Amino acid sequence: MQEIYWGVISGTSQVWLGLWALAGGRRGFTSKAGPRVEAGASRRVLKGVGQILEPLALADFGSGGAVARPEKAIAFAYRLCAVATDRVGPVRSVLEDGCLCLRSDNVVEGNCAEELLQNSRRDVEEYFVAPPGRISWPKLDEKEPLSHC
Amino acid sequence: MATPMLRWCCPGRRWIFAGIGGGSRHGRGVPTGSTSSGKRGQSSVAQQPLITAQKPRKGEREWAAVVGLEIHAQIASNSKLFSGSQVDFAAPPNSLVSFFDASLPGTLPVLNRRCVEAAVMTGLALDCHINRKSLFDRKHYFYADLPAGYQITQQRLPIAVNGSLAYSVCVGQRWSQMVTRTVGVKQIQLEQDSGKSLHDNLRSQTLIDLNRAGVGLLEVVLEPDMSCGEEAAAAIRELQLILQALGTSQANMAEGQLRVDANISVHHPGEPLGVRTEVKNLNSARFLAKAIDYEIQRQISELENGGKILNETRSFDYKLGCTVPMRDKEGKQDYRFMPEPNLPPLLLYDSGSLPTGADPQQVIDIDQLREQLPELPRVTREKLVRQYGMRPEHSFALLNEVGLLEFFQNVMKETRAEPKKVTSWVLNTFLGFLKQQNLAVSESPVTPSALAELLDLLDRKAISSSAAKQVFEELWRSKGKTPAQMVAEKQLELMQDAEALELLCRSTLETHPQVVTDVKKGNPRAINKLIGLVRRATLGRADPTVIKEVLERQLSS
Repeated sequence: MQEIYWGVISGTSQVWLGLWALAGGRRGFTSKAGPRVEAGASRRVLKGVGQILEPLALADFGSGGAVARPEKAIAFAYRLCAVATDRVGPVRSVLEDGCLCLRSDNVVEGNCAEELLQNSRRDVEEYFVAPPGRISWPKLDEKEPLSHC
Repeated sequence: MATPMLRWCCPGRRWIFAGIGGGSRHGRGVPTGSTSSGKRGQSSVAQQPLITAQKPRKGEREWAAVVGLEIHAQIASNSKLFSGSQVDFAAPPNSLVSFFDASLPGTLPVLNRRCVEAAVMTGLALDCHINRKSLFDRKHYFYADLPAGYQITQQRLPIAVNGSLAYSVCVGQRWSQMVTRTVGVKQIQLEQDSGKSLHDNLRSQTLIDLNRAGVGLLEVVLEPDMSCGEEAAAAIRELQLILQALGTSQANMAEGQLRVDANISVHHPGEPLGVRTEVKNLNSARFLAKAIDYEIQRQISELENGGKILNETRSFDYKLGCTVPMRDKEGKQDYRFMPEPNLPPLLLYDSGSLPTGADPQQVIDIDQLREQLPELPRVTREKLVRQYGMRPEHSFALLNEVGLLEFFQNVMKETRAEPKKVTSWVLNTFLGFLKQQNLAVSESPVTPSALAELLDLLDRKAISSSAAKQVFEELWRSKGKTPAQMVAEKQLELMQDAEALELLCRSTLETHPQVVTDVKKGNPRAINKLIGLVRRATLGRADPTVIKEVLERQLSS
């Protein structure tokens, strides 16, 4: 659970903290008093960031319930400002001291198209059919000769 | 409206290209697809000769272009970067896909050792600093061929940084004037490839094949040290040769194993850099230089007409021969990079830092890989020049075609002919025949032994060079006979009887007194007529140079 939470924090609060810093917010906070960010401030920021994040993360930032968790995450992350972190690097991954195992270059899996295609609502001749929706622009260069979109 | 003379120079080569309306190598106006596709037999874009244009007129300012490249090379491995499914170019759709590649829940990435070795070897070959510790990140964006919604890459701390790539371009009109340039290698990183999407317009749907999803890629980022399409094409070509020599990637652009994106901007020398555009879909070696040059010219035109360059992504349209903007309805993309939570840092070692008692399968020793590096193309070419006294451009040509160098070396092993002769025959005659029939070296009907035997006959002066060409043609067309057999059958042996030749010459002189007079009068072409007559009399079995010698001797006495 902890790893997932960290992911949420690093994802959303980086954006939020970035915006806050841009707005000159950093200067106000020196420290020791353990600042508590008011719900209103975090909600205001979320509104702005939310508009950007919604299409990027396909997350819903519209309803009150949907923003409750990010608000709490931002408030929690904000408490870090109270900690003196000069010359201390952040923990970017809880696996920092872990051992990365390497695999030999052998073919040991695959060949299960039928099983995988069962997960797809529609398929055509062993191809997945992509759900309808916007095709994001960076990928338009991979057109096969069939298309003219 | 008069078309302006647009010029930009490739500073290293002191060239000035005239743009639209001038005598540029792009022809008049916007280059179209038809002009380039009409040319056959161009094996590499870098071999196109350059045309110089006029000096800038007074008042016209020069332009300089800046080109940076991002290259994605598919790693030649049996299995994918983080899963054990097979890597193959052509297979039934979705048959080479594991649960991890399909991004099913509960699956985790496990790093393929071979891919790491490939990255380290490539980094060493490009003189990079290999980071002993590198990290993996997630790059998020949504597209149907990216089932996880993110790509695992190395954005923050890649496996190799700060290298350089040396390549050669020709300056001047002739292929023989070559200079070496270098481009900085900013970084090399490991990342996943995405699947493939096919747009079916008939049924308005997109079909997804995940066979390619998860295949290991090496992204090589080149610094913006290049200044025109030709330099970029030459750098790409050299990188291709290096990757192929290392065996880390087959780097075949036609099969999508090597993909190139270019970042291009223009500015006046001495002024700050201009706004850059990114050009994607440069996946053809032939059109790479063309596309980059087109974009440079387009930017110059735009700016000279008072317009602005947008920081956008464009695509090269091969049919139209121009770059077109890609639809940009979503604004700037934000990839929300974050550390890959499922992968610890990648640690590499050298002989000094190897942990004791470690499982060798789990540990990668950079020094060991360095020792095992195969010979790089640059070294091979230098050796050829040293060993055979070969011209540098010939060494390039030998390495430019798959299997040609080996063919050449096999011929050299079996023949006593001089290297210069062998080089000339291999690069001109042999390669010419191959290109004419669009064959690879491996498909050649003429074996190295056959050519070696033929060259021996020539070297011994048993046949003339025109007879040799005839025999070569025969060898190409029909198998089964050796050169010696063909020479015997067609009676192509040179006359060895000097006395008989003398007699023939004398009789020719006697029966053609008019021509003799012409020669004595000083007509330079008359002697050729005599040579021709003697040749016909000998049934083509005498060497024209020898005939000429004898005739001249006889005429002067």
